[in-house]
Amino acid sequence: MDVKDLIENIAKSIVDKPELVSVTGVEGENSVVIELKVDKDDIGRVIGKNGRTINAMRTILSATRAQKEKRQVLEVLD
Amino acid sequence: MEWIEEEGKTRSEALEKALSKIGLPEEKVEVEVIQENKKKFGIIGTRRVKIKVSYDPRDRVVVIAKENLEEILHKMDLTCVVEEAERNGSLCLNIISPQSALIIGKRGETIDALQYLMSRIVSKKMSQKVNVIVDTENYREKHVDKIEKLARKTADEVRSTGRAAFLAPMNSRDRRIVHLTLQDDKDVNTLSKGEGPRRKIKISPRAGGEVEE
Repeated sequence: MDVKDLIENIAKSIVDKPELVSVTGVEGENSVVIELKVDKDDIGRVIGKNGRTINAMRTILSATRAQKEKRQVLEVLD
Repeated sequence: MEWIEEEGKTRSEALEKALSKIGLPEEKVEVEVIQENKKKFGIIGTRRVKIKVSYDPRDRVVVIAKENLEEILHKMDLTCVVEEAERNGSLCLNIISPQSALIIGKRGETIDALQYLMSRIVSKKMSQKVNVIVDTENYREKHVDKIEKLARKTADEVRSTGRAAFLAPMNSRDRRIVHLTLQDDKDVNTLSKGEGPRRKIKISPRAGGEVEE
């Protein structure tokens, strides 16, 4: 399973410009940083009020099997 | 009813295009041919059929919601089936899975995250606010029971000790359950205190309650 796919799928469904959504994984020793890049006008949409949307995505990420192998950290790039 | 118009060389081609756009099966729509240009003079001229496809937008909500939730759960590597039902006028998606504990998460945080994201996704695709309930193994109902029991138990403690007690921080939905459960209780008052995720309920003896006895 690829958690990048999961995050990309969710992000594309909630932004105005899905074609500008990209997700990259940066593998570290103990963790994987998943970097979510969206159009500047969509940043607010993926973060949500008080970070509610991005935190919901983090919660879902933490329920995946990948989390058991290595810590998955989700960040929004701006 | 909402409708879209579509064109094609044949009726079925136009219909296929329309159905893929709205994501509904043929049996959920009504089709009306509004214009048909038959070939004139044998083979000269192109044949165009224009149709109007009408549908119930609620059917679209169900299809979009189910498809998106199934896709997310599938990408989370979970084995599951999603069933739809109506609950309190909202669409409820019930997940049937041997891994329901994982889907609920600790204190229901995973299922709440799924529910929040599903409402966001469906609202985005329908261009209007749509609330979607995501449930598994009757978790929502059991959870309400649990909060009600906790509220009553704590109220009893407050009654017997005469001292105020705090409940653990809860989200607004859960706090509402506590307030409603204890609103008719003559001995205690409920009050929310704190900000954001730390907001919690204080259950205190109703002023004068003790003195009157």
